[in-house]
Amino acid sequence: MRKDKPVIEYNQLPRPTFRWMKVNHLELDPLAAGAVTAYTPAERHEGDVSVSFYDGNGVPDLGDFQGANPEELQRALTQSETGCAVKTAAGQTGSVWLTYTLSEAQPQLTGQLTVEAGAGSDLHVYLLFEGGSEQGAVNFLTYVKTEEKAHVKISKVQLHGENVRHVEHRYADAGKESVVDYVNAELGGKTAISYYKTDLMHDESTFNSKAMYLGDKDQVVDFSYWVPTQGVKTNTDIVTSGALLDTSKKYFRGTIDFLRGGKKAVGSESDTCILLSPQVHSISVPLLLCKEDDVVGNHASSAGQIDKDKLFYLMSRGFNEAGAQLIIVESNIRPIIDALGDKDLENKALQAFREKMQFCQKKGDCNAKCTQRFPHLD
Amino acid sequence: MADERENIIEEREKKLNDERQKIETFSDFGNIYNFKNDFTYSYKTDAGLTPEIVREISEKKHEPQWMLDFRLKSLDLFYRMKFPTWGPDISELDMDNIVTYVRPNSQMQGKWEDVPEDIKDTFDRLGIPEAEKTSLAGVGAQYDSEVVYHSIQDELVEQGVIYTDFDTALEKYEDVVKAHFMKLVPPSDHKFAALHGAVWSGGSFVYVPAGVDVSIPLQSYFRLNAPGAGQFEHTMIIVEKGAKVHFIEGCSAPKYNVANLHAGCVELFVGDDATLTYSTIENWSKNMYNLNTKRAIVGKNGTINWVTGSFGSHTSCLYPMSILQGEGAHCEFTGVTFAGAGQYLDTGSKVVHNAPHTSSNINSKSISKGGGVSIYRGCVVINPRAEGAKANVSCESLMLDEQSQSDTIPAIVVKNDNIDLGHEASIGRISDEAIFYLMSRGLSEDEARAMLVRGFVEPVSKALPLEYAVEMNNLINLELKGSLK
Repeated sequence: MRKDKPVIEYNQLPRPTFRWMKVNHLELDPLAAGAVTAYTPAERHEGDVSVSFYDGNGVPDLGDFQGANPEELQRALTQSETGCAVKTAAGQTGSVWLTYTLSEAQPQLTGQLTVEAGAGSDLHVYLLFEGGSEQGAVNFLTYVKTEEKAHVKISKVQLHGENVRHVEHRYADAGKESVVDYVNAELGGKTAISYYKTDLMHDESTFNSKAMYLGDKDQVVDFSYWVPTQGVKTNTDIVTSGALLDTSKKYFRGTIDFLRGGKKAVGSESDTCILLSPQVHSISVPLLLCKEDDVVGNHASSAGQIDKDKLFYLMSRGFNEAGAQLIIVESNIRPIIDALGDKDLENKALQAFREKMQFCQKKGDCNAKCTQRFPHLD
Repeated sequence: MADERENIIEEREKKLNDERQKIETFSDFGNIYNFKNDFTYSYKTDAGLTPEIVREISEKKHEPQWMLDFRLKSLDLFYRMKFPTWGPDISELDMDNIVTYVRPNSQMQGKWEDVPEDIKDTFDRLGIPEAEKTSLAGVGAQYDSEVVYHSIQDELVEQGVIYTDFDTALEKYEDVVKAHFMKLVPPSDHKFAALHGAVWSGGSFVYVPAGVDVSIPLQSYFRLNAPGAGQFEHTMIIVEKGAKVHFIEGCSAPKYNVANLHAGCVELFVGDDATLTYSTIENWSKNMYNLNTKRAIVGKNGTINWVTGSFGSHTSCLYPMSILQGEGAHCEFTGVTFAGAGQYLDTGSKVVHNAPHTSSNINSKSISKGGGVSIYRGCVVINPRAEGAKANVSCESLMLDEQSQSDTIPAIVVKNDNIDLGHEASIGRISDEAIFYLMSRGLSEDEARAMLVRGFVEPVSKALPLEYAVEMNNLINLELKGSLK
């Protein structure tokens, strides 16, 4: 008789579908939780922004928000090792850079970040997650609140080592005519799990998300978005684009939920995946739920190999196959990297991307010297 | 010049009047599905589901032992399996109140004249004998749990085509049936497949020998007249290498105040280089739980075409599945779902690419109005062996008012890199500009909307034989009648 192994379920789909497809959630083995140790990320800021660090829980009641996994969310709420509150007052502008680094001394991290933007303010948060450890794990909760006409942008680059499980729960409550922008570069970790819920309950609120990824080895990248929209004239745009190497897997679960009353809402989601190896798995579940007739919703999903014509053209101009592939894949994800909005972060993401592509393309001649995922990264 | 202008105006006026007349006449059209006969039968089981009832059904049908064993095993699975954790709420469906077998007052007949008057009248009103004369190569008619009429053109019989009711097939072609029965849809597939395995009755069996082209469609029509009953017909079609056939399935029932259940099963075996087109116009009554399972397996360079119009039932779960097993196999799915007040229609298509260079094209349209819920739920799975596979999925949803609901729930799983996959979906309502334009050309708002809805489903209409396209358009007009604001 089969003995059931304990598993953790991440990123449950808000409206489940056929069980046999195994796409309703991601199942992983549980990780042993490490001891709680206080941690303070590297921080700098510019402009009129207040940054403070706190112990315990600084996140308000999140209602029925379940996060990527309810137990892990609870742990991020009650056993946080690092809490950071970023605020801009009404009409102010500011930027904050936060770097969270894992190491053998700090192999696991459970943390919180609250981002609150006052009316008419403009706040940009740059997040860098890096470093690794044998039993590396990040369990991170981000809470975003925008007042009327505020703009919050969160740019995140994730470059963890190849044994790290990175889980981020992110909840945003967008105020009237406010804008919530996310730009993500998911390049590191063994498993990168994002669960982003954004409530567009107020009129003319906007949510934009751009995410890029490059999976290699047995990496799993799992994006989950849920955007309930009830405000009038809300706008949602979700874009993910990336490529998969070796035996890596990508899951995209996007749900735009047009609720009754959210008239004139516009929502679109797209997922583009370039498949660079015969063993990769690309799973895409883009949902449109609609209880309001006066809306426009679209989704698109595509997967395939690199366009042979493009490859041929570049090779006819003197590039070898690996170089030509790199250029084509980079041209797909580059607009997202460029949207990060910070040169240093953009360079790190781009360099990591190129390292990863080359590491895989040059197996055999550079595998010996490349002991880390990003050996040449500054 | 003035004459020419008058002629144009006259012609336009005539067209508009025709359009108005069509919409008016469709108010009567609905009655052709909703008439009831007195509930008479020669035998029926008690309501509920027990091993004794299953034995009773098997005994009445004089089945071989292996079939009884199969039924009992399926029943055991039914008891043990859970209801699906996704999809519509079917908690109000109480199997203890469902009569699983109702034998009508007639044996299977080969001539319409021999069918009892009340049953013949039913099918007359549905236009089945007329269709047989004008556009079909064979007809089957099931009334409650048993087939009451079956016929096929002599020239097809001469070519070796078999089209018969399932009980006859089990008796005459037992080996073939045993080798294929519920092999594509095993009872362990889901709870209602297990239910079907336990209490199936009626249905059609089609066998098309290699190389035979059945150029005129075959049709089976399923009518459920008994209140509180279930219909569990089994359809099996085997199309041998290089053969071709078009099979049409129609279904309807009068409306009762108690729940009826349809849990049929369709198994299609499409050989190498063969083509099967399977068309369905489903118009069950609004008290029906339609939990049907359809599946096709397609050989090398074979093609399965699904054309589906789902209009009826209270709750539907229907996702025809195509398993593209042979190299170069192809699937084409064209479907329209129209959910009106009180309906929850969860429909879609599933495709599994299991071989190199297979291809699939899913084109789904759904419309919801009057508080109806229309869900597109589908999946495409491209397995590692399916190198060079191509898949395209397009789903469009139209909402006609603000009380309705329309969701699209697609899932795409790709397990090899040498593929080409595209998926797109859109959701929205009829554009105000388009209505304004048509109204500026003299149409009323209702007429303009009806015209736009018909345009929206045109790809499905075009895929149907003319008579059925007309029927589908009529159904759409009937659904739209008086509901548009």
